[in-house]
Amino acid sequence: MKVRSSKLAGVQFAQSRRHDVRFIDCQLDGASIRFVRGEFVRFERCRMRQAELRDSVLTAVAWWDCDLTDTDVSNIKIARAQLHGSNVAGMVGATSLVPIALDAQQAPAFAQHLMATMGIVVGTASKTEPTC
Amino acid sequence: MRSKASDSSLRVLELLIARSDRPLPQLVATSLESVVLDRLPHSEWDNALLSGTLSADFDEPLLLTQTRIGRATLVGASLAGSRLVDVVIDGATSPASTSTTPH
Repeated sequence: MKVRSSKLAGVQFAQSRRHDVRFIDCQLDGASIRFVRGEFVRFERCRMRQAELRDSVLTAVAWWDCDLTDTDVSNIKIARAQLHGSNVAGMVGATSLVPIALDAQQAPAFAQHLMATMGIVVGTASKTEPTC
Repeated sequence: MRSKASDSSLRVLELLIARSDRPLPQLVATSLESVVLDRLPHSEWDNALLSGTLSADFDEPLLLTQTRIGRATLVGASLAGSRLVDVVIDGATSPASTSTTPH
């Protein structure tokens, strides 16, 4: 099934299941895709700002060239996932988004986000004594 | 008060209603297959089977519950604000279409 150039902002897919669905050039800002089970689901050039995908289980899922700014992927379970070309700035719960394949250009931003989530601070050492 | 159309034999009648501006009845256990839908004002679908095409100027929020959607096409439609609960979207057409490998 193909969904192309469609506006799906704010759509709620509660406890739904999808198999072999392609979203192409769609607008999914603020969409609630929580507790969804999906196989072979592909998002291509979709705008998904502030979308909620938490607690979903997705196998063979791909986000290609999507805008995932401020998307919440907490507790998502994925397999054979791809994120090539997508913007992940402000993504919430990125530590759940594994295993995943991405491209070299995305790696620094994704790594920075993962480190921030894990409490790793990158900066110049002040070399002061740690306080107890 | 909304009526309930639980007999799938009513599908033609429901299609005629769908093309008007009047609110649709609540569609329960109804099968609409291979149809082109232009409008579905204030529609609620429960335990239904849908397949077909939503037109490019379709602009209605839908409420779908326990509905199965298959072999459907959406191009340019707006379903903003729709709510799909326990809906199965099965777009499988052939084994070749299930690849997510980048081209």
